[in-house]
Amino acid sequence: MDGTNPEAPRDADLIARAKRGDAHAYGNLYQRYAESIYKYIRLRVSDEHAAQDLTETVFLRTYESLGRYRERGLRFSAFLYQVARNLLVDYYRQAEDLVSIDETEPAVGGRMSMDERFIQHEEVEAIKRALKKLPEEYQEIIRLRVILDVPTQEVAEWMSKSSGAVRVLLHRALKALRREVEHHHVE
Amino acid sequence: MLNKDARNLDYCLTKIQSGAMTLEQALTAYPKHAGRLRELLEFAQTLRHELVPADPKPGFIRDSRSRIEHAIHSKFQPTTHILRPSRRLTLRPTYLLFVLVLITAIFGSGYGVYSASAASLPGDFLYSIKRAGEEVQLILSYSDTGDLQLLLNLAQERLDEYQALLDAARYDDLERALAGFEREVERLGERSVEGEIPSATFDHLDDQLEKHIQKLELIRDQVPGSAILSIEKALDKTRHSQAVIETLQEGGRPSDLAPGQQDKQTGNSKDSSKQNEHDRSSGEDKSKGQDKEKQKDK
Repeated sequence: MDGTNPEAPRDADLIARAKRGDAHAYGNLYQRYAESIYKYIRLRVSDEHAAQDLTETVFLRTYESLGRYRERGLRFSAFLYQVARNLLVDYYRQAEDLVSIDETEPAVGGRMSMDERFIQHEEVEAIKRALKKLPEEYQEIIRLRVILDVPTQEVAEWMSKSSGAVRVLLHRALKALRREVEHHHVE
Repeated sequence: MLNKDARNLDYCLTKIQSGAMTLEQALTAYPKHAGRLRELLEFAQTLRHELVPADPKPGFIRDSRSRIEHAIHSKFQPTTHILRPSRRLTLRPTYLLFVLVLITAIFGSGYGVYSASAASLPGDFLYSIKRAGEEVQLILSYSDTGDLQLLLNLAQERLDEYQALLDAARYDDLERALAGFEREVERLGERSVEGEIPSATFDHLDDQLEKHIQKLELIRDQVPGSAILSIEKALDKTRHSQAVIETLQEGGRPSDLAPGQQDKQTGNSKDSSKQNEHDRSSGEDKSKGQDKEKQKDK
C-alpha cells in the first residue's frame, strides 16, 4: 500500500509528522488505510454503522498508541490490524452482534429473479456457516488472503507468521472450507 | 508435497488477484497440477465474489477523516482563555438540592452511590445523582475552555445514553435523553463565541443524530403498536435536536426554534403528523436508494 505511488510520502514520514501533532499527516495515513481496515471489520461485524464506528475508533486508538509504534520490520498496516483485532475482541465482549438486513442482500442481484436470489442467498449463508466451523486461524487466513486480497507478505506480518507458513495455512484452510461446504450440500 | 502445492496455489492466486493473469493463464504455469489447483482457485474466486464487503459509503471516509483530524488538532491546540464578564451560575433548584445530597453522599458514606450512578440512564433511580455530579464538575471547572470541553463531553454523554436506551428498547425514555442533549448543546451555544467551536464538532454530533434517526425508522417497523408512538415522539425530538445544531452552526440561538418547529427559515410551525408522513416516505425512498446502491456496489 505504501509503494503504489513512488512520489507519495512514506508511512514512516507521515507517522513522524503525526507524532508531532500534524493532523493532516495522520489524515493521509487514514486515507491510505481506512478502506481496507473498514472492509476487514465489515467482514467481522454485521452492522454497517458499527463497522464505521469501529473503523474510526481503530484509527483514534492507533493515534493514541503511536508513541509505541516503531517501524522496525513491522509495517503500519500490521499495527492497525492488531488494534482492529483487539477492538473487535472488546466489541464482541460488550455487545451482542445485531443481525442487519445487509446480511440478506445477495452479492450480485441486479437482474435475478426471486428464486435465483433466494438460492444465492442460501448458498452464501451456507458458506458463512461453513466458515464459522473452521478454526479461527483458518477463518482469518481466508478473510485476509482470499476475500480481502491482502498479499501474502502482508498477511504474514499481520499474523506474525512466515510467508511459507501463510501459504500452507491458506492451502489447508481452502481445502477444509471446500470440504465443509460440500458436506453441507450432501446433507 | 504440501509446501509445493501451497506455493503453486499462492502463486496462481497472487497473479489472478493482481490482474496479471486470468485463471486459465495461471494454470498453464502448472499443467501437471492444473486439476487440483483449478478446484481450489475457482472456489477461492467464488468465496471472494460472495463474501467481499461493499466499499464504505462515499462520504464516510471523508467525514471520518475530518473528525479524526479535528480530534488531533484539538489535542494539540494551545488553550486560549477568553476573558468574559463574570458568569452567572444558574442551577436549577432541583439540581442544587441534589448537589448538596451528592456532596453529603460523597463525604459521608455514599461515595459508592455516586460511582454506581455513573452508568445510569434517563429514567433510572440514580440518574439524578449522575446529572448532579456533572453539574459539580462544571462548577469546579476553572476555565472557559474547560467548560466548553466539558459541555461537549456532556452532550456526547447524552447521545451515548440515547444509544444505550435504544439498544435496551427503552423507547419511552428516549425523549428524556434528547431533552438533556439539547440542554447541553444550548448551554454550549450560550457560552461560546461565534466560530469558537469548529463546525466539524457540530457535524459529528449531527451525524450521530442522523444514525439514531435511521435506527429508529428501522425499529419502528418492527415493534409492537404500543411502542410506535414513543418512537414517533423520539423521531420528532431527534429531528428537532438536529435543527438546534443547525441553528447554532448558523450563529442563531436555539430559543429561536420553538419545540416541534423544524424549519426555521419558513418560520411556520409544521404539522408534525404531516412531517412524519413526509419523513417516513423519504426514509423509505432513502432505504430503497441505499438498496440499489448496495446492489450496484456488489
